[in-house]
Amino acid sequence: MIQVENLVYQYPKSDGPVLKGLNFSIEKGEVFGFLGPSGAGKSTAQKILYKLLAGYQGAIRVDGRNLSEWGDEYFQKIGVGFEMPNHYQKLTGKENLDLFAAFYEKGQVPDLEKLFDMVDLKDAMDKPVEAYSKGMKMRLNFIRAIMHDPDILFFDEPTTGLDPVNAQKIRQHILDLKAAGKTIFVTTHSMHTADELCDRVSFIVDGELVATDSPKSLKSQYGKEEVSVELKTGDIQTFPLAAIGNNEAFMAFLQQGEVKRMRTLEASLEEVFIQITGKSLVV
Amino acid sequence: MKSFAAQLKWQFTLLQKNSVITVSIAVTLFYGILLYFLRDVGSLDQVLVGLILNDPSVIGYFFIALAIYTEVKHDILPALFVTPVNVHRFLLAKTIAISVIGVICSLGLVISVKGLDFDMLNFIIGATGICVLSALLGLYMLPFASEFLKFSLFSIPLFLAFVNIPVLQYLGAIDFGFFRYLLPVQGSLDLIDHAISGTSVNLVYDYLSLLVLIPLFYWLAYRHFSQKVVQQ
Repeated sequence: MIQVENLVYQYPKSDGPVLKGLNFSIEKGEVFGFLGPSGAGKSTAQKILYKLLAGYQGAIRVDGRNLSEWGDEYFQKIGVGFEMPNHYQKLTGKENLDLFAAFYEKGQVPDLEKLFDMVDLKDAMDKPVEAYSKGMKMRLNFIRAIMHDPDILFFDEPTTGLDPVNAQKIRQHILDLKAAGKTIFVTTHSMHTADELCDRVSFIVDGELVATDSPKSLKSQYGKEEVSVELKTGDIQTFPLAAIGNNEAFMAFLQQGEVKRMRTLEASLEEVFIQITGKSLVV
Repeated sequence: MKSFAAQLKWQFTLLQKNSVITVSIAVTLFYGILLYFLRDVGSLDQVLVGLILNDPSVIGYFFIALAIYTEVKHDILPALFVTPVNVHRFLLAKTIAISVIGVICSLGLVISVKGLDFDMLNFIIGATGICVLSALLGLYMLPFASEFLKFSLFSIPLFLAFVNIPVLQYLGAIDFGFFRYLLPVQGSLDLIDHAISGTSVNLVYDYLSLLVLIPLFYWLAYRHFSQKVVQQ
C-alpha cells in the first residue's frame, strides 16, 4: 500500500536533515507505527506522506503510484488525525464536520450523529468547539479523520490529551478500523499505544529507523524467556521457561509454600526501545 | 460548482461567527449616519469617494488577513490542506465573501448620502474592484508576518500608499499626471467618482485595468500563498 525508500528531509534553514534515509513499507490492512521520542522525526515523516511537506528526497509510492503524481483525489482516500486539536472554535462540533465534509465528493456525512455518539460527543455536537475540553476536541479530531471513510489513516499521537478511559476507546476504534480493512499509520511515544495497536512498529531515533518488527517479536527477542515465582514467605526465584514442566527445581520450589505471584520476564516495548537505542521514549 | 457554493456559504458563516460582518456593518452605519446628517452642509462627493475607497479596502485587506490568521492561530490550515479542498476555491471563496461584504458596506455609505441617485452599475464594479484588489493584496502580504498584529503594523505604510496616494491625487493634493494610470486602484477610483459625481472618465481604461489587474493580483496572491502557506 505504502512504500518509502531512502526518505530524506531537511527543513529550510536547519543545519541538517531531520529524516536520514528512512526505508519502510505498510501493507494494506496493517497498523504500522513509528515509536520514538519527541523530535525524532515521526510527525515529519507523516506530514510528507499526507503531502503537507514538499521538497523531500527519496521515493514514496502509494498504491503503486508516486506520491508526487497524486492530485486532489489522494485526499479523498486519506484521513488525518492530528496531534493537537485544530477546529473552528466559534463553530459547533457538528458545523465543523459539516464544513470539512463539504470538501469531499459525498459532500455530507450520512451518520454524523452516530459518529459523535461513537466518541461520546453526541450531547456536545451542537455546542461551540471553544466550549469543549482538550479531550473532547481530540475526539472531534478523530471522527473528522474518519468521517469520509478513507482507505488510509494517519494518526499522530492519537491518545494525547485523553483520559485513560477515552484513550482506551480510541485505541479500540482504531483496531475496529483495522478490522474493517483500513491501512493505518500511527506515530506515538506511548509504548502502550504502540504495543496494543501496531502489527509492526519501527523505532525511530534522530531521524533514523533502528529496528522494525512486531511488538511481540521485539519483546521476545530482547526479553528473558524466564518465569519469576514469589512465595508468600517472600522467597523469589526465576526459572527458564523452556521445558519448565520437567524442571524439578521449579516443582520443588512450588511445593515449598503458597505462591503469591508468578510472572514471565518478557521485556516491555519501552525496555526493548531503551536496549536497542540507548535512549528513553520520554524526552 | 456545488462544492464552491458550499464553501462560499461557510465563508459567510465564519465571517458572521467571528463578528466580521457585524463589525463591518457597525462601522458603515456609523459613517453612514454621520454622512446622512452632513449631507446638507455642502458637497460631500469628495469625502464620500475618499471614504468609500478606504472603508471597503480596509475590509478587504485586513479582514481577509484576520480570517486566515484566525485559522493559522488555531492550526486549522493543515487540517484543511489534507482534504480535497482546492486552493483556488479556498482563496476565491474567501475573496468573494469578504468583497461582497465590502461592496454592501460601500453601497450603504453612498445610499446614506445620495439615496439611489447614482450610477449603481459602475459604482458596484468600482467598489468590487477595490475590494477584490485589496483582499488579494492582503493575501499576498499575509505570509510575510506570523500574526495579525505584526501584519497590521507593517501593512500600514503599504496600505496607505495603495489606497491613499490615488485619493490624494483625486483630491488634487498631488499630481502624477499620466502616471496615475499606473496606480492599481485608479480604475476603481474613476468608476466610483464617475458613479457618484458624474465625472468624465476613461471607462475603457477603468474596465480594462480591472480586467488585467484582478487576474494578475490573484495569480501573485495564489502563488505566494501556495508556496509559503500551503506547502510549508
